[in-house]
Amino acid sequence: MIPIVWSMIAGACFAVGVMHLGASAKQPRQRASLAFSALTVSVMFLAIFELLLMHAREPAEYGAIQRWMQVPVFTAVVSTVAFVRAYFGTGREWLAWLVCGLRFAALVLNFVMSPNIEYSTITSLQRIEIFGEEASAAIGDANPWVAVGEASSFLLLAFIADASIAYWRRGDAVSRRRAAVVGGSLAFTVAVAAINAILMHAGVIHSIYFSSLAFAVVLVAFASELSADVARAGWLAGHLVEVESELRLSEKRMEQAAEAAAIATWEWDVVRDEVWVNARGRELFGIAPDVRIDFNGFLAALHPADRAAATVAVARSRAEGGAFEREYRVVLPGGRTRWINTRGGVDFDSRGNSVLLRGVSFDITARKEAEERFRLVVEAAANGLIMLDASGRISLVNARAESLFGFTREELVGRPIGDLIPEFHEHGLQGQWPRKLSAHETLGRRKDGSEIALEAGLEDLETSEGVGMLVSVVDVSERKRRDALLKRERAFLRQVIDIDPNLIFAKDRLGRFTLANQAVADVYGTTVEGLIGKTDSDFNDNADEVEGFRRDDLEVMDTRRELFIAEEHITDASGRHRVLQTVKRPILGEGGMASQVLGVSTDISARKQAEMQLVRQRDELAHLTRVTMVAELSGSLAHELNQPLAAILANAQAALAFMDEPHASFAEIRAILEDIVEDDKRAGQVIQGLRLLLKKGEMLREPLDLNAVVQDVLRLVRSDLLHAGVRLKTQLARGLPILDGDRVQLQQVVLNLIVNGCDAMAAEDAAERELVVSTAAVDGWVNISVADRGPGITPDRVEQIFEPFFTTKSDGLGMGLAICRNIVTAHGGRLWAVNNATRGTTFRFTLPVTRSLP
Amino acid sequence: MSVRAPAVCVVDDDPSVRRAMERLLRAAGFEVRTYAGAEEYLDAHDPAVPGCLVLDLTMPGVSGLQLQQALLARGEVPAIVFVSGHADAGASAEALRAGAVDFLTKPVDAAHLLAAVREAIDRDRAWRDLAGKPL
Repeated sequence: MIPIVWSMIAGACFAVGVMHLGASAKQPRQRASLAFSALTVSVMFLAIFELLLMHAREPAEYGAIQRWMQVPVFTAVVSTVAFVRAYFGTGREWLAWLVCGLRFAALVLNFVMSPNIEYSTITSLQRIEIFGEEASAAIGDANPWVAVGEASSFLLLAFIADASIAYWRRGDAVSRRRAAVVGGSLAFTVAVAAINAILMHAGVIHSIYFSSLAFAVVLVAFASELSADVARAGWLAGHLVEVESELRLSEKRMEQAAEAAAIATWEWDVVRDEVWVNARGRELFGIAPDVRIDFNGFLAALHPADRAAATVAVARSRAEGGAFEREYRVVLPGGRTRWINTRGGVDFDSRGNSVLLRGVSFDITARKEAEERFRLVVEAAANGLIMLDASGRISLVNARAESLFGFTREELVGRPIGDLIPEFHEHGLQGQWPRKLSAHETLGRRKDGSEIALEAGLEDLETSEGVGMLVSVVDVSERKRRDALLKRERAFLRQVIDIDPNLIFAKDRLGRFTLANQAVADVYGTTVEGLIGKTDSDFNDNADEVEGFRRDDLEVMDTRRELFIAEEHITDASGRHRVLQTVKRPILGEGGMASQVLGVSTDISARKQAEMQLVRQRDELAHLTRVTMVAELSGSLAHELNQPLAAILANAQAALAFMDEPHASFAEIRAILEDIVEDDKRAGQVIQGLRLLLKKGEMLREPLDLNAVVQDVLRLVRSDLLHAGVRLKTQLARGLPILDGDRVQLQQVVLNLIVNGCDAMAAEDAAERELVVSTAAVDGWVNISVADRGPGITPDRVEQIFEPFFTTKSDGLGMGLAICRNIVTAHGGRLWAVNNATRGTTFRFTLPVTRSLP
Repeated sequence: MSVRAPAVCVVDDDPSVRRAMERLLRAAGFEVRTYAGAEEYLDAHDPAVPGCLVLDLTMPGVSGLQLQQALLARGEVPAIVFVSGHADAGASAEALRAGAVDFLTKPVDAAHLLAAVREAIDRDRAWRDLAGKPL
């Protein structure tokens, strides 16, 4: 019975070992199979040695067999370790080495010691009964070094348990089953064998070695595993068929879909250098349907500029594997360029060589062109555009950004934006910047380290790699510089207008100052800043003046015409009245409307005062000359007064005489009294005229009839003319226009000219002494001329005679004609002298009829 | 002896003065003739009529002094009382040298004028008497 069982076990082990050895050649887990084969063979030998041991007759024979049995024990242990490691893929390496090491040490000790490592001496053999048969068992002293082998066995047990538990923990049902069945059976075998041996050596029991018998459990376990694997393989084979047919179906569908989606599919057999491509692909690459394509043929279809890059990309894909994606241009027959996107993968053979590249390609021309157009737009943008990735590094820039910062595109890409715009370093990408590209002033740093003033706008940009940002920058250095320049110019102009003593100002329609210079501020006792936005009424209490300013301002803005104000008055902060001469001009705004008025006023107070002084002096002088003239005329004037006085006296005395007569005639007396009244009036007129002439005072304007003025004078000088023996002729035009003037001063002029005329003729024959006084109206002017028949004036003196202190008379002041010209000029007229064609001189003056009163 | 009554001839360009003189002299009982100027007087002049002249010194056209000279030039010996608007020493002296009876300044008091006129008439009469008697 025993020989049969042990032989069967050995046979079974051999059969299983050979089977696994064959399987190891083609199965993926070849190492595990190899190790298992080694294990079964070891167990086969072990079974043989165990059988021999049971039949040993001599202690020496028993010891020798036992010594040689250590060899299959060793190989069984090592192959078990190897199998567990290979089959489970778990198990601690150090433990494995320790187990094997101890078992090897035991093997070495076994062959060094006598008879073997288990017994130091075998005194005798005893026959024991096992399963009803006799078997040999050793009696002797156990070798203490057997502990080395035993330690190895226990460690092996621990190793198997540990590896099984680790395998168990991987979780899936197959793993757990395997861990339980394979690990459990191995552990069982090792445990039974080891414990049996220990008890035998210790002499506790007398038994035989039955490790191989225990191994039967392992064989059974493996048989069940194997059958499970076989069943699984059968299912897999069926499934494979199913999958393959599905795959073919899906390939067909894929092909149809690719065709419909205008996608080219292709394969490149690297080994044969042949490219297979579907019909759509040939069309896409512009390659005729029946042409064989190799890699060079494919390259030839590409745009020359893209060939090198494509070659490099293919080489890299073949070297590194994995999926690849490229975009390149194809030049079609006819020269048109098409953009193509290609993506695919690489297949490798068992030696790691790439054998097949396959993939799909499709037309992206439209997208590329759109991108190109977009790129051109971005490139051409006047702003520098910088795109940042989520970490704030530059991913894209346009040409303007390059030139702005002085970096090339290659230098910029990948650089943190903070290098260009330091504010990003300070505040980070999500700093307190406004978004939506609204302008934000900051400083930029150029490559050469110089700073530029920038206006930057930010916009968050969501991309596939996270939230990036678009930065738009404009160089505002030039604008800043211009602003600064403008500011300086403004300040300069400010100084210019402030240094101007004239009042310069601008006001809006509401009368508010929008501009004023220091002179205006001085007048109103405030500052330039204090004036802006205020009105005249805020500083000037004189309502009439303020109202006048306002009226003029509005007139200028409404009529949009410049206004010259020869004289206007303003009360300054100290209450002093100033006289201004002002020009106001409208400032035209949009649509030609005048929204403001610009004014410049000159303070003419001093000039005005000087003028007044001059007028006063002129009046004084005129008066003085009148007095002088009257003094010259005194004889004539006395005559003129004495005439009526003489008549009055005579009349009165005649009346008295008549009344003494008895029959006095009342009619007579009445006539006498009437004459007296007349003569009295006459005397009164002379005195009145004289009084007026001698009156001292300012120029007084009143409406005048020039003929009346002339007649008044003639009345005064009548007797003088008589006395001088001068005939007077008058040619007074009828209906002379009335004009404004000073009666006394104009009388003075006429009187002066008449007296001069008489004087000029004093030396002439009485027959020649004729003076012609005439008046005429000519085109808005009134002319008065006084013509004498004297010797005339030498031409070089025609103007000289009007100069002050020029005189030909021994008793004259020489002021007469100068004063006359002065008076006429003050009336807006002109006085001059011409020599007559025949004889003498004509003095003529003209006065304007209409004349605005200052 | 002359039978004709003496006449006082007043020559003055001022009508008012002329009229006043005439009234005054008439009131004093003289026969008065008035003339607006020397030319008018000369036109109406009758050397045979006795009397005197009351002559204004300053007149347009022929002046008082010129009239005096004109009469002297005719060989007459006029009895003239000059009346002037203003005291003119030169004219006064010239008039008196040429035989004027008096040189009065306006306004003239009636007493002075009448006295002068009477003297002038007296002189004229005396002259005429002398002239009428054969030497």
